Amino acid sequence: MSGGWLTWAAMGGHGGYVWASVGALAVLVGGEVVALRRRHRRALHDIARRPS
Amino acid sequence: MAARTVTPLDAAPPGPPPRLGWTRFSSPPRFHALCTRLLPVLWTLAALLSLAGLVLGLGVAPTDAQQGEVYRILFVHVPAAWIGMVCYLAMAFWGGIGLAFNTRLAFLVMRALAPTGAAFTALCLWSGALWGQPTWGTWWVWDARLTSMLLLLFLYAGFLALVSAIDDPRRADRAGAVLALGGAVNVPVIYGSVLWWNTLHQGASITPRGASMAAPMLWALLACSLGLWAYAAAAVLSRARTLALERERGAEWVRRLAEAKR
Amino acid sequence: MAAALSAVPALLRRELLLAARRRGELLTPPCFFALVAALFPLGLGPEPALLRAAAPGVLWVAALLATLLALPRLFAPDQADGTLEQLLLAPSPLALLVAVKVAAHWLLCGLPLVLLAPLLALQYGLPAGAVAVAAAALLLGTPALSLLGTLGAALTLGARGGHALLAVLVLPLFVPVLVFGAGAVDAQLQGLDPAPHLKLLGAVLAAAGVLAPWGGAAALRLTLD
Repeated sequence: MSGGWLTWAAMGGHGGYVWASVGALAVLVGGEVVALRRRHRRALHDIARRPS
Repeated sequence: MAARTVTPLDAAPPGPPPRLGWTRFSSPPRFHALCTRLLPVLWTLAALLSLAGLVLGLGVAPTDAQQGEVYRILFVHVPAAWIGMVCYLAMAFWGGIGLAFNTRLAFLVMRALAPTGAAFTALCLWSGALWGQPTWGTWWVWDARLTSMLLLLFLYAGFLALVSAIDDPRRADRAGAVLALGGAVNVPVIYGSVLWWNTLHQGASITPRGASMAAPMLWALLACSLGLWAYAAAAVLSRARTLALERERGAEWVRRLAEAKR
Repeated sequence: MAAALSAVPALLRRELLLAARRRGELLTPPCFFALVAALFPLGLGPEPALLRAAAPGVLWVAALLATLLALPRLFAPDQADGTLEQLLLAPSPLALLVAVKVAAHWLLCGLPLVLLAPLLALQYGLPAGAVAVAAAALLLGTPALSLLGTLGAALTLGARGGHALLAVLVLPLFVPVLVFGAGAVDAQLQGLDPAPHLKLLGAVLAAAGVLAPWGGAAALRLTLD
């Protein structure tokens, strides 16, 4: 069964290229989401800190 | 009636509501509320559709007759190209709206579009290079579409550099809007000239995939496209919402929002 | 002696901190580098053989121009806010402080070019060996360019004629680096040994590393007194 997964992941010998593309998408999405959450949290924190 | 010197910013303005529904959201607090309602839906759609599309594209869709398995990169490459291009046009559009109607929010959306659009353009170039090496034997081909994408990335970089170089946010907004508009007008001209350059020199060209794509491939491409579109919309709205909070830090509605959260 | 050396980490930290506050500005030299490298094929045509042959020269000229564009940032902001005069009055030897400033400048403006160069080399279709030699040559050459440009940057502080004047002063000084750097990549492309070119580049770097801070310091005193 695991042989089937490995064959699929190898993508006919070009697995590196395919997974590097999908991986780049994952890095983009992950990085952007993390950065957005951090920025939003910092904005809320700054507002709470600000003396009214 | 007691005289009121301060009107809450998110109260309905006096007079009849505007006829065009969307101008209701041109006030930052209403925009913030709208984003907060839309975002969970968009994130969910993005996750479900993209995952479905990738599963379909990487697993279910059949092997291509000419390119084998490597063609599957197109499920990332093609949506990324579209998002990169449309985000720039949207930036120019909202910049124009902001300049014409002098609304703060239009500029915020314009600024929010830039990083996401630039990232997807870069992803398009990256995946394009990875597609090119096994299929044509080189990492980069100076063909019309790839070169135009590269120039689009430079346009994004210019916009981001300009708005971060100007200290005053309002001036930076207007300068960025003018730049984005100028770039958008230029994009067809640049693309036309690059196409002319390519045919003149009889350069290599990446032949687009024929319309004869198998049905699972088309479904996978559709799912990936819609999913990544939803993701891009969510990222842009999330960034715009945060920008609104940052810019309007001293405003009444922001303070009330913070107090409500506590 | 200890007091003189203690200024080094403090000044380095200040340079990096100031740059971190304006992160957008760090993008500009690499963007310019990539842009110029993209302009040449649009002018020359996309034929791969031509581009591969032109690549060493094009990449080096682009790196040269990107460094030239970043040079005014070495002293001009500090002159504007008065830090430069403080540096002149400091107990540490001025040549040492200039060396630290140039080192920070290279880290912020030169090193990104070195890191970006392999991608651009691949765009021109250079084989892996040539890409490696190009990266190594730029790693040796870009600090040399920053050092060689120090003299010009110091002399043109506040002078009329601005950046064009700086270019006229500094580009002739850049020529040895260009010749040896492009020569190294070209040698690799033709199957010859790039090592002699790289060694000459190293020699230029060493000489510049010793002489340029001293010359820059003298030029600063000249300009500001």
